[in-house]
Amino acid sequence: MIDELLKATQQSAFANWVQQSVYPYVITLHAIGLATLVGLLLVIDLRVLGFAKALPLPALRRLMTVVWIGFWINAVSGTMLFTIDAKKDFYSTLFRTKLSAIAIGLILGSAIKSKVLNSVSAQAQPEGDTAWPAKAMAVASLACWIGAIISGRLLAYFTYGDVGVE
Amino acid sequence: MSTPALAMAHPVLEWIKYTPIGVFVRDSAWAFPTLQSLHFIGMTMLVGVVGAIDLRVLGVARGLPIHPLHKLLPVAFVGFGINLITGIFFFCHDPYVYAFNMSFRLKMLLIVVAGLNALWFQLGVFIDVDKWGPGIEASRLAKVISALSILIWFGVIMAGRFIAFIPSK
Repeated sequence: MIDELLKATQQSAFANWVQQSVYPYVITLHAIGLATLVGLLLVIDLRVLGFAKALPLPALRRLMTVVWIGFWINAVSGTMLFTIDAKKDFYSTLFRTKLSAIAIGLILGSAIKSKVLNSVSAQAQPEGDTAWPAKAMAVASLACWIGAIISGRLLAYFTYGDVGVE
Repeated sequence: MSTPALAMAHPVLEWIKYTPIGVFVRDSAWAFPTLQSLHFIGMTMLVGVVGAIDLRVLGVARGLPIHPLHKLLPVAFVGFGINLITGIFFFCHDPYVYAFNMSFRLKMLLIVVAGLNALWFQLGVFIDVDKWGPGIEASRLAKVISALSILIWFGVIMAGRFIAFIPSK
């Protein structure tokens, strides 16, 4: 059932259009979205870790809005890229690793925004140090995004861990 | 390799192609994907930090003082260093493809333009930067330079992605 759906996706006129007509533009958008999403999260995470402490924590929340713009650029462009190789991607361990890392990275990013940037202590002491759980979340966030980038890049070259793909 | 320029052996490109770096990247199945991963991580460090400064100057997250944001610039320089080194590895891997590729040439040109644009910011408006504390609006000139910065770096990314889709001749 799922295999038929994946196959139909790959053979759809939409997938064909993506592959034949707009592919270089879609991967360009995917790279720009990546730089926006992960690049700005990197700035936020570095501040949480204690770099550039003169940056007030609550003011960083505004950057999260742009982070989400980057995310949606990549959710849309990523879905378009998925249609081309639906079956290969779906069964790829690299692809599943990438999506898992993104999911955890998003949860950590939201938690850092609500629990750290928005916290009572951050409001009281915007230029203060953060507690160790906040720093642990920032490290885990960076690890997730580096993992997402690496698995995404490897996905373009290898089909490592494929299950049942001809 | 059908065009005359590519068919002819070029002494400098030929030497680059057979440097240990070129041989290593061509012979290893893992080298290119690993270098690509590093190149994307370097891009994120560079464009992320520069982009955050540009966004602040443009008025997004105006609550951030600009001076401490500039203290993150070493991260951008490390990212640039990673990408310069991995980029040299890509070039050695197949110098003919890159040297005769218009998208690659445009990318190099845009990186130089981005550097000059950053220099303009440094020399033209950076002297005022200490005055731009939390909530202070940046000057019009600073905003123009920052908007250009974002556009140029997105152009660098686009030109980089298009290298593989434009014939080398």
